[in-house]
Amino acid sequence: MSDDSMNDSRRRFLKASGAGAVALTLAGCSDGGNSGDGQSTGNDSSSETENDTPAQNTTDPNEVTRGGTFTVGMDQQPKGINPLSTSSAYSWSILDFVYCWGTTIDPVNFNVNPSAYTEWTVENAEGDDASPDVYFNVRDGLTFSDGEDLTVEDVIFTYNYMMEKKPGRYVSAMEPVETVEEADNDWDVHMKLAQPIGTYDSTQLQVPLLPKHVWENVDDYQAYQPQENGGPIGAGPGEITTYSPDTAIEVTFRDEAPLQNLQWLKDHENLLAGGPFIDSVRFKIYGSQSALTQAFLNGEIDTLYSSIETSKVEQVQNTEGMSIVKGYDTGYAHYSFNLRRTPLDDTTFRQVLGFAYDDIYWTQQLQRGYVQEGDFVMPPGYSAVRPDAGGDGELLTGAATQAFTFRGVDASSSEVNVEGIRQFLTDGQVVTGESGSFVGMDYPGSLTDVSAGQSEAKHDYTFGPVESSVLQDADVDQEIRVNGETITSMNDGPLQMLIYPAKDSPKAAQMVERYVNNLRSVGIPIERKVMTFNTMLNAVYANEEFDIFPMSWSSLSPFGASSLYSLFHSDNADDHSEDNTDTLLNNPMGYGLFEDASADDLISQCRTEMDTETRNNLAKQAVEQIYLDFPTMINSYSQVQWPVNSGKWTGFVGNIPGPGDSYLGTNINQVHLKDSGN
Amino acid sequence: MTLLEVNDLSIRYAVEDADVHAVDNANFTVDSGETYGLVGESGCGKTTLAKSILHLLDSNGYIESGEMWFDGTLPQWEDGNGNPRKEIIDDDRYPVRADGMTNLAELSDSQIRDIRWREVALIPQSAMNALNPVYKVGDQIVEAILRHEPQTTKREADERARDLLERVGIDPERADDYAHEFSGGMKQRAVIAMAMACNPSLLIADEPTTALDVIIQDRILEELEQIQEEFGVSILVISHDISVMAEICDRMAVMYGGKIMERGTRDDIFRETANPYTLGLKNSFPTITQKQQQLVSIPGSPPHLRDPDPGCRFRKRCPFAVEDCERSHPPMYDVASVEETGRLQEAMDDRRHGSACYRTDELDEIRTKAMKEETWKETATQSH
Amino acid sequence: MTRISGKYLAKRLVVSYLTLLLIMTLLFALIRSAPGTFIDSMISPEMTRAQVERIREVWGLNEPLWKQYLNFMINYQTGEFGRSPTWRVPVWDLILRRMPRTLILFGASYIIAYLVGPLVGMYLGWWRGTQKDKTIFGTSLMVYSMPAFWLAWLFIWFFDYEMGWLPSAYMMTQFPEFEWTAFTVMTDVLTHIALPLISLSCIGWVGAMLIMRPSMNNVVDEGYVFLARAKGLDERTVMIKHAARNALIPVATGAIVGLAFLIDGAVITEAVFTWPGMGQILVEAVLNNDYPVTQAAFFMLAVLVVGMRLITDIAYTYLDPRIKFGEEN
Repeated sequence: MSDDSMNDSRRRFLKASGAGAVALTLAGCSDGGNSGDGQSTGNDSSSETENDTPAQNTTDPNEVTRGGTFTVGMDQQPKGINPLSTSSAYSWSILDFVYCWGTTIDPVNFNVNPSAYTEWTVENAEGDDASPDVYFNVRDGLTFSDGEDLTVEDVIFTYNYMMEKKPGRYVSAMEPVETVEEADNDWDVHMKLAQPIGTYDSTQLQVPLLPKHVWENVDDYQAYQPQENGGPIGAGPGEITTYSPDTAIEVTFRDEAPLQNLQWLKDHENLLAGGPFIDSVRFKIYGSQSALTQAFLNGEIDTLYSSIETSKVEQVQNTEGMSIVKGYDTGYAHYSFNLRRTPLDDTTFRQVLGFAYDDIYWTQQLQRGYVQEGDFVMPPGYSAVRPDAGGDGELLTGAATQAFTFRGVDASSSEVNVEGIRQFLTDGQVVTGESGSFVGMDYPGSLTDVSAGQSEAKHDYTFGPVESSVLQDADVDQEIRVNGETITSMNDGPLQMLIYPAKDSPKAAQMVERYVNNLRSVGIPIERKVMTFNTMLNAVYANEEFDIFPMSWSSLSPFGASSLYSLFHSDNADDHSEDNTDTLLNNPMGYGLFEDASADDLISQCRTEMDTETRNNLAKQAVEQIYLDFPTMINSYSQVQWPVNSGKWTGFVGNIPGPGDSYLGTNINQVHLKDSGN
Repeated sequence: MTLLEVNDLSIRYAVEDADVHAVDNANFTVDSGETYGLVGESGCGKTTLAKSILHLLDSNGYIESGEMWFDGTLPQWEDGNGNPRKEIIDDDRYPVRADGMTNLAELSDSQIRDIRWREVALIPQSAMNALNPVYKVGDQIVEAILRHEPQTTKREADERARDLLERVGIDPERADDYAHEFSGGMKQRAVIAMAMACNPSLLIADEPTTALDVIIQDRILEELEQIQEEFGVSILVISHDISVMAEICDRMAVMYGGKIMERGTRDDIFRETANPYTLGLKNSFPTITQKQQQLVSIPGSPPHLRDPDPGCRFRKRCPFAVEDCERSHPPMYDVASVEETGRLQEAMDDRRHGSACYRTDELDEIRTKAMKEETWKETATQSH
Repeated sequence: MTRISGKYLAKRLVVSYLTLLLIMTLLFALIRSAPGTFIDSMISPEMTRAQVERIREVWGLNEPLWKQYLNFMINYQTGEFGRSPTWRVPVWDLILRRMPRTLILFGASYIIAYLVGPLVGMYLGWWRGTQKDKTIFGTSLMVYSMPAFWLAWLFIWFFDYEMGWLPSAYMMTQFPEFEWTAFTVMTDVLTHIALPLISLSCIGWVGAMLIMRPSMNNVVDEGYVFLARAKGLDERTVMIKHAARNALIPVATGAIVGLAFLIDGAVITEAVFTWPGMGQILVEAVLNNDYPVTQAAFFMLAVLVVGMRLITDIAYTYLDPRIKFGEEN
């Protein structure tokens, strides 16, 4: 029960980000994957590296057996099927098939490809106060499921309706849009933007296109119930033919799906054009995670939404006709620091907090290899914006990603290197981005030539006799002084680390116990404070009342810009200049508010940069800047384990981010019956 | 005329590994129209005896031996006049003997149900709680009538119930009330009225006055006497209160430890008391006949009746016990004969004054000594 | 037979109504005191403060608390439950769709529990101390002490996974391959309700039995039971009409308490059996701070309990004439 409810709460904090169909999710607490006692799979990383890209596709689309009904299980009912009022990922995994979008993102290389729009361009985008003109053409021959043609008029209506009604999901995409009207040149549509938006082709051009003849009569879009008005009508490949929102939903595919047969898909190495190959996809909603898992293991459903608990992975792998499709995280799990408080305002001190965190204990012992060690604020699947992608170093394991890895007394020890860390503090060292040796480990220098905002410690650290009671109880020989004062006397108490109740996340509790003990043995007074998810949400995001807190994000934007902006830009931090606003702000750390810890410039440039490669490089720099400034410690990325009925079906695309949730639609478009030729 | 003749009745309770001899070889006879009393301390077996007549013993109690001949029989065995039919009497399979008496001890569970209330009604101990709180008092009387006279209409039964209530001095309107709306005395009288619903020939009243205050007690006793006059019913009264007995009984039996110690008419028992236990019992109660000043209780406590030894049941508390008493329980001696002849002679007739004591031939001495308080106190010290 | 005066009934109705108002007030206070609001899940990171304010305004969260409270009290008394911010539909839609399913399952199990429980309790109490009593009582206690979900999983595992006799999810077949007719609807619902109903009833009746058995035990020695037997009534009549009728009184009290356990059972059972009732979404509503749904669900429960309380109070006066409706204790 409690585990399920925590999952609920992890998923519930859903927010629309700038990236159209990709929503940004605050993924909540703790254990990364589900807790479970599955056998250790040994050294997983070796098999990872040899197979970390999607398989090449050699199937001829013309020989694929068409037909069949593919059934997906879910553990929650979708929150309605009104495209303007729902942000639920469950809802969108269904609406994905009903609507079409101007452009679409390639799940493998994250290129932005044509969809309902055939071509687009931007003019007048140079300069800081530019107001760019975006022009695009709408594809001919698309029809809505009620038989009406999709026209330029529908496209223009969609934008103007969204600009007028400001539905929450699209409010940020529409904010910079000034006008959308018929173009007076050769193009179909002219969109005027108030400022340059680097990712306009995946945000402004990626809204679901609505039929004017349906929505022009809808005044209160929130109260509108599409299912009572002939179903949601879109120009996507399918339409909803069964809608029992509490139990079962069916999407039946139309005869033609022109958007699945475009040139870029035909040319794609990993994807098949010409889908969907199945007749329909069914969604069955189960009452609990365990009922859902059992339904899959009993063969009642072909797959389940998102992933299966790690304790069942081996069972699935060992069962004939079932297999696991692996995928990348779309976010990360982290511990973040409140930069408004001393000594957390000092990069030296924050980096030390990274040295004491035993990654191996977390990823290998507690999580049994089902999570990957964390480094950057972009998950390994988002290759376009990771500093270590495309270079010489191996993803996740290159030395430049190990700057803040655990410092044991020797390479294989789980005993923290107390002396080395104290030395780092008293010397006032900072891992700035220059190469060097820090607490017994070599660092090759930053990958993108950025350097930390501080070049030396902000405070003077010394060690003296133990005074704080948390350390006295812990039997520690020395206590740290910050500018001559103990942390306890300076802050009226030791540092506080917020954690979830152990019953909700037992592994995280074990991890934090180890972590706190390591920090105490260094001489840092720290204690734990247990909070429930909702309480913590409020304390952290509304009130910024914390020193260190654990959370995780999912569904980040693969282009970096919008996610980096909402998570790490000072615009989204409460500077406490006026009253402390109780609005939830996504940057509770306060990163960017201070000159010596900020990536604001890089992030802002990245947002407005129109050239993809330049933008990606800016994103990589921002990511590495954040890595070195260390306002947040990424502890792990989960490894998605998406179970499928491989006895009957084939064509699944693995090694992409979220194959069972964010890119479930991609997989549904690819899946087909196995017995081809029979 | 004999209504009930109890012969050598023994009743046992099976407890764990032993038998409790609740009643042992009891003999007595109740005549039509008379009031017969069974008196003794609590635990002497008098209530067990009464309940056994209707097979209403607790589940572990059973009649070990003996007969209970009753002048009255099952409806299906009756002729038009309420007497058993000839072929029933002649057939050995039926427990009915030549004089028309039926042995209640041999009736099955379902057969005895037809005797209950119709022939023998029983007013239980604590009649205060005998009325079901969730049904109207009148309806509970109606239930009894309809049970035994199914041909009666509900309306007739209801009228009869009201009439019965009126006859015991309760406003017939109150038939529509519930028990909790009645006073203690009214409840008692309502139960008496209920008992008379089927016009039984025997009414067993178990401790009819216990738990009532003295004034009500008297009224209830008057009520019983009046009922008896009116209906001609025999009453078997069971009480530990010997003064109640003195007031209403024609004849009586005194019980101790499951045995009848003495029996006879009221005068026999109170004027010609022949048994040491009766003498002791009398001393412990204020009586109406004798203006006794001081109450002297019998020292010690009643015996447990688990597999009792063969000696006199009372001997351990008896100030007059002799060696003979250890050997076996004394038989019932005919008091008049013994006084006449000076020799111990067993009683042949249940109706005559009898006493179970080996020293019945030394009556004068015993009676004299029993008057003295020290006599009873000595035993107390002796026994310790 | 009229022991209930119209005047008193009116008085009781007013008291019940006031009780509901009080419960609603507590409900409001409790739900609002939880950290966060449902708005948290609607605000996108890049919204301006003005946009956030607009959403708060649309959902009525900008009003002062006393006004929100007033609106809540007035709306609820006119049956206006508002719209769910989580499921984006009018709360009434959710209730009308899901509540009947909950009531079917739990109504049926409630009826079974309170038919079987007192009946078995009556026999066990009547035959107390016998081998039969000891065996049945011991077994039922064992069943009772099992966690509900564990027993449910046991049934699911055996009847569905192992044997395939009965379905373990949903109230009806999803995507059936047969036509819906009155007959197939009935048989389909019956096969689907079987497992949840059995696993609920397996435990549910014991509660009622546990009240009935000692209660029966107490009346077995009552004078009126003895008298009923002395009257020549057969054992069945004595047991049922005289003993059980009195022993039933405390069971009626237990029945209201049992009702409160309904909500508890609904959450777990509906999750395990994928029974699409109110319990299934209640936890989610609470976690999402979905005030409209949470308030409505608990309000319905309060109405149910207060209503049952009134009904049992009236039933009591018939069950036990010593209690007069409206009499001060």
